Amino acid sequence: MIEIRGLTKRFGRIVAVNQLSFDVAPGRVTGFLGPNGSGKSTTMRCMLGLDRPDAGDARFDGRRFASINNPLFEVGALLDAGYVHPGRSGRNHLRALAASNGIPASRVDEVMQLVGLGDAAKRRVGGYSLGMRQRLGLAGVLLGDPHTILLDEPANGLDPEGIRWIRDVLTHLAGQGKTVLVSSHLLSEMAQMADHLVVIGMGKLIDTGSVEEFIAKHAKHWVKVRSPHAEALAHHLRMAGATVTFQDPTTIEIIGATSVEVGELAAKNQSILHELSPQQGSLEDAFLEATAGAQEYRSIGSVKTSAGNVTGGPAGPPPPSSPLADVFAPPAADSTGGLT
Amino acid sequence: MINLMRSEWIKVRTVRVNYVLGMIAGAFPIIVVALIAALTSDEQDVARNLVGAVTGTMVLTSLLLGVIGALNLTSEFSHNTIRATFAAAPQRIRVLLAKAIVTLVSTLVIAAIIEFVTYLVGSLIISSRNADVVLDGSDKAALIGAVVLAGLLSMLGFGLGLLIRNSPATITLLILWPLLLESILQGVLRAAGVEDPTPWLPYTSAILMANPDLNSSDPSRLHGGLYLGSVVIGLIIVGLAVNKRRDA
Repeated sequence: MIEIRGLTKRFGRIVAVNQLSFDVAPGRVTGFLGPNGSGKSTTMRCMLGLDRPDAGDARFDGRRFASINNPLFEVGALLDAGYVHPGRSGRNHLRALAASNGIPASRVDEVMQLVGLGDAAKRRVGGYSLGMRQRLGLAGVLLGDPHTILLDEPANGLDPEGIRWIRDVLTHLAGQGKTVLVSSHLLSEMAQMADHLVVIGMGKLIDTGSVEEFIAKHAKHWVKVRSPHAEALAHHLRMAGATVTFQDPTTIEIIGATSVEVGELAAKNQSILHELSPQQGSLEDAFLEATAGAQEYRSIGSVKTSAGNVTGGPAGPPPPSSPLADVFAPPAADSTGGLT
Repeated sequence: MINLMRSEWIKVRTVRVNYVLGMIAGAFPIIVVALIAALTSDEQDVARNLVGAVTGTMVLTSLLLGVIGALNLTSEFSHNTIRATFAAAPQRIRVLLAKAIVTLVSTLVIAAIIEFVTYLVGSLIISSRNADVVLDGSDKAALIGAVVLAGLLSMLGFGLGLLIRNSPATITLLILWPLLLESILQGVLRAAGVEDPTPWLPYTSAILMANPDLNSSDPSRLHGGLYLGSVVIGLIIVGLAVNKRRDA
């Protein structure tokens, strides 16, 4: 169990982490999300005492990290795969870490094999790819088989097989009852990996809860209908107060009415339906919505969502160029949109 | 603490630059003393001055060992490995002390080996030229003093590294300390009316530890060692305090 209470860290006049409080429970993967510069890495460094917080603290099973003897047995952390001397071999890097906690060299060989670096163990780290360094960092995390695991962007540089591997490893570790906190920018990965989310922006807590709750709370919801009587149905829906947008002459997207309400309205007006399906935005959509006001660095112009694929599974609302764009555009834009 | 020292010893042994610098530090006095012993025309004179040649060249070796001592610490900051180190062992003072002990002990052992080999090579060459090398008390004290000087300079590099945390800046300051800083300090002291500023200059007075032919007006070897040792301890204490508070 990790407990963060009132954590605050300033760099000069910049408040990187501001009164941040949250818990990370064991037995599940907790995703730590936030835009660039939101304070995720600073928070993790403060948790490990690498950065000195100005206020608040972090406790691992009730204890401050600095008070833990041989922490590799209790807290394994990978904050940056670059924290290695390029002139040292991967095996020697781990041997030095292991020795500091009294872990035998045989365990180093075990974890090197476990992460798939057995053949590269004696090569200098300077010749490792980023993915190999990530695996080396993970080997360091696993050295003492700790019950708490902190990972900052562990999928950086990993190939698809590596990403799947790390997802399986973390899910497996959480299944063993370990406490796993992992930050990532790969929201699709996080959607598959995390059970719980902690979302921060500009150093402050934005939301915390299960992935399902977070998406339900922050992502857009709409109903998709395909019907040969789409135009007539759209008229009745608008009369009922819903916002309707045409995708094509037979497909409409409805906001402001549930699928039950749409179905009943269609039946009442004898409209044939070829499809009636509730739609929900993705974790990415929910994340962008939740952090819209807390992004320190963002590109000029609209933030595009997932490629206009509003019908397919977890994909989100379409980009502004599609007919639905106006529906999702901010109030200042032309909200009359399409045939609404 | 033993585990931390084992960890630091692994770090020292597994970086190539330490071997390269150590070989340069070792080769320099051996080659120079061998050349002096072999090429000086008056073999009796070189036999009398062998210890002076050994300890004189050991001063440069000590400076190079000081660079290794500084790099053992500053490379942790320049490669950010200090974060991995502190994440594995969060008691910073203990980690840094373990690093200092390993650096000091390894420097003393290496310096003693280099000095012994240098002396052995020089005396073997001189013996082959039918001259005898005789060690008196002052020679023995200078030989010991040269090893102690190496240890102190490695700790000076370590202490500077603790404060500066940057390899090029630390090494530059370590080398400029005797060449520039103490020259400036000497000038200031003379201007202030100090007739002989040597006792007030930590490096200059400590270097006398390696001198087999001290004048009666020179500060004693003990004075030089204690003075530089005090400066080094002061630097390390301040460095430890600063590093305990600073972000890693």
